[in-house]
Amino acid sequence: MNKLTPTVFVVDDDAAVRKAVSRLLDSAKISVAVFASPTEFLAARDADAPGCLLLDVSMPGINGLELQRLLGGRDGILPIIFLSGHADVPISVQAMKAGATDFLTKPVQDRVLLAAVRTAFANDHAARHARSERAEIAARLETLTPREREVLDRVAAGFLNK
Amino acid sequence: MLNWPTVNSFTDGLASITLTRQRLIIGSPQCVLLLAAALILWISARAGGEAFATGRNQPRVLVLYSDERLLPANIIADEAIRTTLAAGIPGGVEFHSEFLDSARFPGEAHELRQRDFLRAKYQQRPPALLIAGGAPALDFLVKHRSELFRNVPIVYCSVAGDRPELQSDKGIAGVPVFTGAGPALELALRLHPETRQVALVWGSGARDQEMTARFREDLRTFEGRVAITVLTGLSMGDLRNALARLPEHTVVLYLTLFQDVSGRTFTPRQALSEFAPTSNAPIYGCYDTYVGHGIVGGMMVPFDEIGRKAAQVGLRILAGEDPQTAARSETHQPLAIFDWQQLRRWGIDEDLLPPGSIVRFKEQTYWQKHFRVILGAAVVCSLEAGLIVALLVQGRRRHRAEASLRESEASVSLAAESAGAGLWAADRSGGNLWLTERARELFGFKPDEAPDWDRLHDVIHPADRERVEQVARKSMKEGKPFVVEFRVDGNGSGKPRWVMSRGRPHLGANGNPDRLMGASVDISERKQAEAELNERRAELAHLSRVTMLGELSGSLAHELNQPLTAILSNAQAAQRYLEIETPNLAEVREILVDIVSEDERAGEVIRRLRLLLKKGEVQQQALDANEVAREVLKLVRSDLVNQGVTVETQFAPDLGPICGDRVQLQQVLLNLVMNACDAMAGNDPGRRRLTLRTRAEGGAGLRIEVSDIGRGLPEGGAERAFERFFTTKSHGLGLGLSICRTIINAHDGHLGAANNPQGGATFHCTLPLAKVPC
Repeated sequence: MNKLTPTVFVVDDDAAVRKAVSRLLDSAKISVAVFASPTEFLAARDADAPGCLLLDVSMPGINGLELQRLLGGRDGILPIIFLSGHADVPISVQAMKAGATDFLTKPVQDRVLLAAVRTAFANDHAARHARSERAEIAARLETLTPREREVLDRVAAGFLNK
Repeated sequence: MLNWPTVNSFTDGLASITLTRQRLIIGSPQCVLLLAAALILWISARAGGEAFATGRNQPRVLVLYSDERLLPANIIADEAIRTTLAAGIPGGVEFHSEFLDSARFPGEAHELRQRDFLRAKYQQRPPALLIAGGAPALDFLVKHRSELFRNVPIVYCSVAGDRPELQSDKGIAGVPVFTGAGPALELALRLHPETRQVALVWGSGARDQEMTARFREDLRTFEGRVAITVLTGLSMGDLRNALARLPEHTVVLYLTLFQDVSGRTFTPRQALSEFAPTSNAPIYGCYDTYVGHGIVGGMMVPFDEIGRKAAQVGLRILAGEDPQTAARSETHQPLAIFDWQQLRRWGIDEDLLPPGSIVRFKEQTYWQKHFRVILGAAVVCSLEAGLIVALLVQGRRRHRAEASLRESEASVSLAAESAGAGLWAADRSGGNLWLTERARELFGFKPDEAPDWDRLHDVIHPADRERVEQVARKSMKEGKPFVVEFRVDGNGSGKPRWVMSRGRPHLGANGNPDRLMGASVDISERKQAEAELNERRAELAHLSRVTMLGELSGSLAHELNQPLTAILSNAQAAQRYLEIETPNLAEVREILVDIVSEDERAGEVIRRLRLLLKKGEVQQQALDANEVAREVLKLVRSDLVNQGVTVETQFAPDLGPICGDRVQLQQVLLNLVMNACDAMAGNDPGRRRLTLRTRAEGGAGLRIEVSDIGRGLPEGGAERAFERFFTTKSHGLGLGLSICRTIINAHDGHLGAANNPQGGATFHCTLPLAKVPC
């Protein structure tokens, strides 16, 4: 898997669902990685890998929402698409508030899933781009002397540099 | 009888005959001649030598009677003489009877013919002893003895009075009869004191004249005491008339009537029989042969006695005794003899009769006449009566016993009927089946049917037959009572009835059970009620299940969604693969296999769900408790995941099967699992652990436990949790556990709960292992 190729990280305790979903994504030429539990995903995770997380809500041990919370506190968070067995409104609301890209219900139509994945990929790409721009700017800022930085701050605040 | 010249002395064959004229009544020249003839006869007999005995040493005896053979006196005397002689001589005697018949054949010519006849007849067979019956015979023998039977001793009888003229002849002797008209008339006057007249009756024949001469003499002494009328020289008709017209206070004295004036001859008794009925006065007589033929009675010597005594004298003479000495040994004592019928006819009191009187023809009282018969009959009757009484008593007892038995039977029947029970008894062979009407009704037998085991077998529902027979056989074998419930196919009505039979074996004579007897009742209504109750229970259980499944709907949807999701995604993936120019068919084939598999998975979920939702009849089957528990966990898996409950299972291997309804048992476990989850809802997400355990319990059961680490049982303990409408949930009906307990009870099990020492509660359910067959 190319480090630059976005990948869908599927986390579902149901092997059959896991397999089917990964096939569908594969048939759409999307890179897939499957995990039987959130724990497994966390253990194998490459934080820089682009893509999105396709997460089942109801799972033994750490469930989907808990994984989302765990991931939310870290940098470089992947967009999360929830795939739930039942369209539970409070859960979906909670998930969306916590920043989920989408909340899909099983069984899911291929176009819906693929659209959601693409959106997530785009979001991830944009986020990564923004993050790298910011990092460049920050690096340039680092090159400024403290006085230059002071001037910059005042300019940014609307003062004249004269 | 005739007075006759008697031989006074006897000297060496020559007799000097002294005629005692005073006593000679008939003094005819023939008499003298006869006497002479007799004398000559006797002498010639003596001269003729000794030839008394027969060649066989049987003494020969000749009895000569004066009258005819059929004169009753002769018949009686002859019989007496003959039997006495026969009894007195061991070898018996040669016995001859001859009859002069002098009354009917009077005169010398006949006498001589008789003499010649006898001489000719007995010349070669001279008798050793002569017996003369009556005076004419004696006179004849005395007269012709010397010619006919020289020196043969003569015994005379039935000759009235003494015969002193004969005492001289030592070869002649007799027992005199001192009877006559005098004593008879004396007797008559004594019995009839008012008698004013005596009518004398005798015949007109020569013999009558002879016979009555001496009596008439006797009667002279009565002259002056009573008037004497003589009725003689009359025809029988005139005599009868005369007797019919006798004046009052008359008695009749009958002497003899051999011949009436018309010349008609009679035996004297025969004549008496003819005239006596017409007589209006009592008749008396001197001969016992008259008694019974019309005379009241008289003083007399019976002819059988006369004959017997003459024979006894004869026996002594034959034994060598001197005739006159022998004759003196016997005397005749006249007897007063009466005819009872006549005594009655004339109203004579028996008490007036002289002492020692003989009353003949006394009509015996029924008692006297039939004494033996009556006694016999009485004995028989009393025996019979005794028997009858005994039978009656027995019958009565039996009756009473039967009545009491009937009463007790009636009580039993009443009790049985009141209880609607039918009574029955069947013998071991089953040939005989006794049933009360109610029992017949229960088993659907027709009233006229005579059912047996086979027929009973037929009416029992096929599914119950073997069981019923097993129970009956076992009861007979072990001698223990039994209770069995079974269905009886209604008699054509189609709907089977439930019958409960209680029975016990009845011990026979040999101590072994030979009969089963008992009572049966219709329990169809109870069974119906039970069925309805079961139905309600099942409905309630169903309702409870539906409610429970409602709670689980989210989880169940998830369970169903998983395979559906897999199928859809697989299918759509396949479609995409196939759109590529060179599709990876191997991949597609794999996908299809998975789709089929997932479809089956979905079907399984639906099946499981439908099973629980089904409102079906309870089905008993052999079940593996572990499998039941696993199925339940599959159902709730999603829910448990959602609730963050982890499950631990500790299933004992090799548990025997239990017998029960799969759905209901799943329901119970499902309920317990869901309760456990609820109990742990307040726990931290990491502390929600449920343990499901199975293990053997004793030898014949198993135990399923559902443990949680939740809040524990409510206040009030486990029992409170099983109460109906008790709930700790905001959304619960409070029926779940109570229904669970009902279900387990119906499975002969027990459902209980207790708090765990480390916190939380454990619900346990014990169930018996299945018997074979389930």
